Amino acid sequence: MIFSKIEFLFIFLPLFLIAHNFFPYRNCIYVLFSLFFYFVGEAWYAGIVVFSALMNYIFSLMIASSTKQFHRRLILSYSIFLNIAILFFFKYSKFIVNDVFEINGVEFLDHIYLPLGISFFTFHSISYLVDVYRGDAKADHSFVNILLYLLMFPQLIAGPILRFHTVSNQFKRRVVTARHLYFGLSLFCFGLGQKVLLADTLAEVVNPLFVRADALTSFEAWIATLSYTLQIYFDFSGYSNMAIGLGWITGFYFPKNFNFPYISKSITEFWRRWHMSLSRWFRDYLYIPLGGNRFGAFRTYLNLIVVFLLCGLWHGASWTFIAWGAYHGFFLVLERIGFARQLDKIPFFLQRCYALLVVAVGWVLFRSDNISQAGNLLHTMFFGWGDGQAEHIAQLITPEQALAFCLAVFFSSPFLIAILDRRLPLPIVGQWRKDATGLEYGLGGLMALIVFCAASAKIILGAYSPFIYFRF
Amino acid sequence: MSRRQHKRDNVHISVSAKFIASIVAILLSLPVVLIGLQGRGDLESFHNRILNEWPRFPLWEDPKKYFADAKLWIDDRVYPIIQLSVFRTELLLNVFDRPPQKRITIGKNGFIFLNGGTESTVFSIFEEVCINSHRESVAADLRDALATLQAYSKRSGIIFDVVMVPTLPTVYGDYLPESVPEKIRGACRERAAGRSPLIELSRNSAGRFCYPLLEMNAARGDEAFFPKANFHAYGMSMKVVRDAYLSARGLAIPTHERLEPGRFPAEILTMYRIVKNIPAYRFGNDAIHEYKGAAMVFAKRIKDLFRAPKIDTRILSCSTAPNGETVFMLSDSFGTNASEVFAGAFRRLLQATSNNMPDSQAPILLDRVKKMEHIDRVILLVEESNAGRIIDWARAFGDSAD
Repeated sequence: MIFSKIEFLFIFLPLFLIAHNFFPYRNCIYVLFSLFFYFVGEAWYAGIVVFSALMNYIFSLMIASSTKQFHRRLILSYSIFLNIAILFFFKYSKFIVNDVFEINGVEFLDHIYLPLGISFFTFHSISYLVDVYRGDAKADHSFVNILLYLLMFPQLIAGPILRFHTVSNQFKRRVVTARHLYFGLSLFCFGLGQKVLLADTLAEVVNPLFVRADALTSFEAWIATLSYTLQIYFDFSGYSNMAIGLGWITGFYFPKNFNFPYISKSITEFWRRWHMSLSRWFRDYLYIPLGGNRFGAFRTYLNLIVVFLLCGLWHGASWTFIAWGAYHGFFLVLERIGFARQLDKIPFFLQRCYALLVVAVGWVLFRSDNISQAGNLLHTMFFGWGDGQAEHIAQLITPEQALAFCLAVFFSSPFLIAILDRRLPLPIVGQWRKDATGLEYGLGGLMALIVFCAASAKIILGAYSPFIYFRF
Repeated sequence: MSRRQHKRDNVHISVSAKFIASIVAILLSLPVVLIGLQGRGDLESFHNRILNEWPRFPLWEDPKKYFADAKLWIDDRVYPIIQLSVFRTELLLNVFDRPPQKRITIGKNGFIFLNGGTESTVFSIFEEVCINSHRESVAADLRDALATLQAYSKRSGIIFDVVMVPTLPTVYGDYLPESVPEKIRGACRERAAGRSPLIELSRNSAGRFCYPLLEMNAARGDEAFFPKANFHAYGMSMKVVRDAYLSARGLAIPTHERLEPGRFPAEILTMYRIVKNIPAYRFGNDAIHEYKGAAMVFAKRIKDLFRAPKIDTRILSCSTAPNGETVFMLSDSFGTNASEVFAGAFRRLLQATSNNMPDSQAPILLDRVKKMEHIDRVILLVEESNAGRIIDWARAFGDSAD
């Protein structure tokens, strides 16, 4: 189940709202609804998630109760190994056998199913164990709370990735007021609009073009790339906003996940604005433990490359994702070596063009089915002028899609938020306005309602595409 | 945390938050709660198909399939899907001049074309009617099919004729917009200019195969000839098809018929529940009588040959018919409009729409019809994308014992 579907919006969500607001044992209710949420899509694979939660619950108690540092470290290593092994088995075994070792015909591998959100709950589990080990968080003796941390449906399949110590107190005590409802529901509505009205409309442009990616003209290749650049941002940030909004209406504060990444002036800045919870996770649980920037320039560059190779691999078991990770790692190293200083000397506009171009080219790797397709597409984009016959613009993009494209460009900068925030109480993470009048709340609510109605109408009429981050 | 804390509420929710949450929950549930307000018939007519059923097996047997089936049940019925669809279509058509779905193409000069059967087969109808049906290989297969039918005709003593009705994209191919790929548009323009191997086949078949594209092209200047937003030929266009067939076959053409000009609902838009009247001719012949009760009996007798329970049949007679034959018309959906027009030429006409019948059943169907009435002539009538069906029917008749 995902948020932009009829069964979630009009059945699951209203039932959850009633149950969470009017029945006791709210954490238990939250867990039961989350299990059902997972069960609807993944059926008995929900058992794997529960097993993983139980395993990590026991390991965390063992780490907490152990007095010897050696034992604690041993248990942590073993538990992380098991979590990675589960992830590896379900997500990477087929890739390793078929693509890396080029062994085909292993029938058993065809039966391995990738459970939804496995990458996210593995990272949550590791975060919990490491936080307990480091003493950043206390091991929670309530299994319900651990289940809730790992399975909470708003962030279960696409994040934001929560670090245990940032939410552990909210399992024990949280408050929900009318303001939480207002900001939470309106953020959910705007997120739904981003996903359904912008990303899904752009998907209608992107998908047919990538289907015939090997036979595009240069113009079509650029349309496909730029549309996908916008699509993936609104798809993912829309889903993250819906998750954060759902968190707010139940008294949870999830971290901001996107901060207008396409206005970045460098790739370094891009990763401070894109999927911020993932970047923080990699920084805290991989980059810093690897040594970060404490052992000289070469080691820093090596660490960056390793982190981004793994970041790419985390997104999917395919050479294209590994190439995408390596590509970003390369630019990060390049900027560290000194390119960032050169960039600072050129106008902001050109800095932004550089960052956007690098990111957009990266998305070609990310979206392509294989390296060869990505190579062909990039070749067409940069060297294919004059090749083939450009299809009529009306065949590529309808007025409705062109409108979505323009709105997406507009909303990918903070321009509108900056104007509206002075007049309306907008649901901005960490910045809830306290001085808004009733009329301002009313106008803000009306705006959210219009977006919700438009998105719902599109959902009901069935014109939407699957969520891009579905299997990551 | 103590055991007591764990079991009881550790979440404080204000009264106002509970109130807002309740209102929101009630409003959100309306699209599902109000499903009961819509009639099944109304929904089936809107979707133009039988609705998906609630899963009839236990949840634990196959939870994934259970939820997937339940989702289809909800998707079909969610309220207000019909009203929303109409609103969206009107908005797109009237404000943005855009088609409601990708399978609809808005042409030049007010033409509206159905380009594909579903949203995942966009332009497939155009490709079929303008390209695939006009290949030399198809003409050759049709030639063989006519020979097979001729042989069967000799064995059974029943005359067999084939009528292939040109469609809107071939008659008005030059009105397709530039958003249609050039390969398809070019082919449709070729047909509109009267170029197709089927014309040659039609010319050399002594009327046993009729493809009246040239006759339709000659008449297409009349704005109401082939209604501009119809998939099916209607009124004047169907009369031109019939008259071309009768004269090619050397049969008398009825007089005392009327073509009444008027404005009638655009067929393609009615799929989206939009009533927009466009110029068309209504065919009229007072001597034609329709037997609806007998047609229902006819449908019951052939029901087992069809895959779907709904079977379209018609039985008509004409007291002033210039030809005294009883005709059985086996057709696709074009037969519904055609039967009324063709009935004016024959003493009696029985028609069955075969869209839900396997082609191999055609000889059995004819046997059943022959048990009901004496049949002099069989007319196989399809629109041009169903050329394959003629070939399959001929094969089935050729393989049959009689």
